[in-house]
Amino acid sequence: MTRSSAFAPLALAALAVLGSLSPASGGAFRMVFRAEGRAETVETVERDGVTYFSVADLARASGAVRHWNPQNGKLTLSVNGRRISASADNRFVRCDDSVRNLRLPLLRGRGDLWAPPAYLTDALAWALDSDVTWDAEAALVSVMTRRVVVTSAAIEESGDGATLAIGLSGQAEFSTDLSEGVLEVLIRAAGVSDSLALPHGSGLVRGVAVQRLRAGVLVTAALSGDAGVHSTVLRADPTRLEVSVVRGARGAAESPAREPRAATDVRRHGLDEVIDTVIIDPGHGGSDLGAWITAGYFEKDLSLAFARQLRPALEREGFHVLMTRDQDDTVPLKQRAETANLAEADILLSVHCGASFSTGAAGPLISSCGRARRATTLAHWSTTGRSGRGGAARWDRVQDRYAAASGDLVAAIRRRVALRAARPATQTGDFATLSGCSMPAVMVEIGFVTNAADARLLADVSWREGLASAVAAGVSDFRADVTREGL
Amino acid sequence: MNVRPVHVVIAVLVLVLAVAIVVLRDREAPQEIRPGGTVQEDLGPGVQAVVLAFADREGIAMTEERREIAVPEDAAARAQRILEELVRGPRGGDSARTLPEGTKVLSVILDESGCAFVDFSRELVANHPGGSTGELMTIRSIVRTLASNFPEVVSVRVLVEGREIETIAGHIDASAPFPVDQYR
Repeated sequence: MTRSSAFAPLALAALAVLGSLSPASGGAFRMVFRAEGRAETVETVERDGVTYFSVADLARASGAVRHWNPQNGKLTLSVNGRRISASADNRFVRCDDSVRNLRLPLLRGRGDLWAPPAYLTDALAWALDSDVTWDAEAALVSVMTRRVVVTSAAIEESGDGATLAIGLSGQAEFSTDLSEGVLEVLIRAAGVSDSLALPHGSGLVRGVAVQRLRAGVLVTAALSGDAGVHSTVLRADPTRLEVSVVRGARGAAESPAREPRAATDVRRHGLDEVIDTVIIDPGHGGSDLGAWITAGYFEKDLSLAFARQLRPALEREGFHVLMTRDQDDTVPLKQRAETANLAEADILLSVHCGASFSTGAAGPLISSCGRARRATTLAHWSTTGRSGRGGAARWDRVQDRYAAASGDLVAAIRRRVALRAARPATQTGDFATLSGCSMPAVMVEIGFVTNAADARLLADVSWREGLASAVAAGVSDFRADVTREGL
Repeated sequence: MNVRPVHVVIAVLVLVLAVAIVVLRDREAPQEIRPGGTVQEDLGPGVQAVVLAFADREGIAMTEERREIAVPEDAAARAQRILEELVRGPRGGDSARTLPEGTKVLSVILDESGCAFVDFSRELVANHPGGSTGELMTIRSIVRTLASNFPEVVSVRVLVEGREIETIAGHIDASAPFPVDQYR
């Protein structure tokens, strides 16, 4: 082997290392924002035949806020309320709570970070709500704002009904869904106008919210308990989507359909005709820490903090409010139900945080015991866990009598929470705290502490304040429905 | 040594035959699909294809993973071995673990009524992330894994360090057996 051939691999390795750290000079691209009719210049470099774009230039041109820490190589770009997080020499970026694979790493050099084309077409396009394409030959980056933008949202009252009118900048694909009083209209591949103002609720449509999802824009409307969708029409010139809502007739679009409750249901559920006392049960406490949030801060602390926000929100709705604990006390689960029963509370709200091994699990979760499927009598209890026929009823399964009312309370809270957070989930299960409650009882998990995006929201006091108001409004809707249907 | 051409031919034929046997034997064994949908394979003595139930990445639905492991003949010991494999977590990227790392399966008893008593070490409770959904996924993965591998199991009772527990993470009542038809 000659000396030169012996050095060749070493030289190549050295070049590879140096190359990844200091990109050689390249050129400049024009970044054209079609909708705004403006252009910016973005510096680029070439490395192994791939064009890398200056992240500092991309941020400036896009109007994004850039946080770049050269010490640890971490970068954050925030625009449109969305956040892209990345690290030097890493090919994965986090877009809010999802991860994209850029296939090539971001390079560090010249006091900046250099992004491969996938950063523009995948991550930046998502944050800007735009289609971003690039043409190497023309040295051009084209930013095309998605054709359709939600420009307005209004509630128009008309006789016995109301129309939710969604103004659009052009024709769009959409789908609607109505479940348990939450109307969702998904407008695909659409964006939201910065000047969009949301209407106040009316009798039938209690509130409207707009949320941007990866699939498009989700317009959520909370309908009153007995409202249904009559028709959905997309009108042209100007383009607007009209969802007609009527009282009394639940529309064909709804699934699963549920008959309005008969007037006698209130008595059948065993509810007092006057619902005025709500007991809040802040989850965990004392030696029972609950989920771990940050060093020295646990679910027991956050659930109590939220309960202290929920209390005045319920009082504003006219409820008398009690708490199973208002300090960092250890309270056994069964004792919480006992406290609520002895206080003759009309509703119990157990407040917790969600947590999971799956970091993708996210969003508020509202639960009740549902219909009893485990043993409700002492018979067959010890080994089968199955319901036995006959026999004495278990005192700690008294919640079974309120299964339907608790389900209605879950639906009422979900309708209001849906205006604050995308698609809150519901579930049923054998909840140890709820099963002994002699009143409608639900558990509200305000968000997953194991999910990065949820954790950020949960740390925001004003966001929690809004959620507390939504939960209180849901409880108030439940009271209104029960009172109206009970008379 | 006198090597006749016929010997060479025989030697080559034997070699070809041997290679063919090895190649054919290494091919995947034909699978028999039973009416119930389970796949039966001849995996050799002591090795069994078992079904492990994990959570999906959103932590709201169950996923199943098939894994071939060496298992003892005794049913209770086999159940313990399968649950130990469940604790190891999923191999596929689309699933998430459902039991805390480091949890030990202390013992399993399968009683005549079809109730499986499973005794875990304290890590099940101490290292659980919490949350009612996470707790439900833990229960469902234990129940579904046992029911999938032992059709005779109709309910599962979870114990910790040999004692009954009220809940695993503070939400779902664990003071009675979990019926398979409700939790799988």
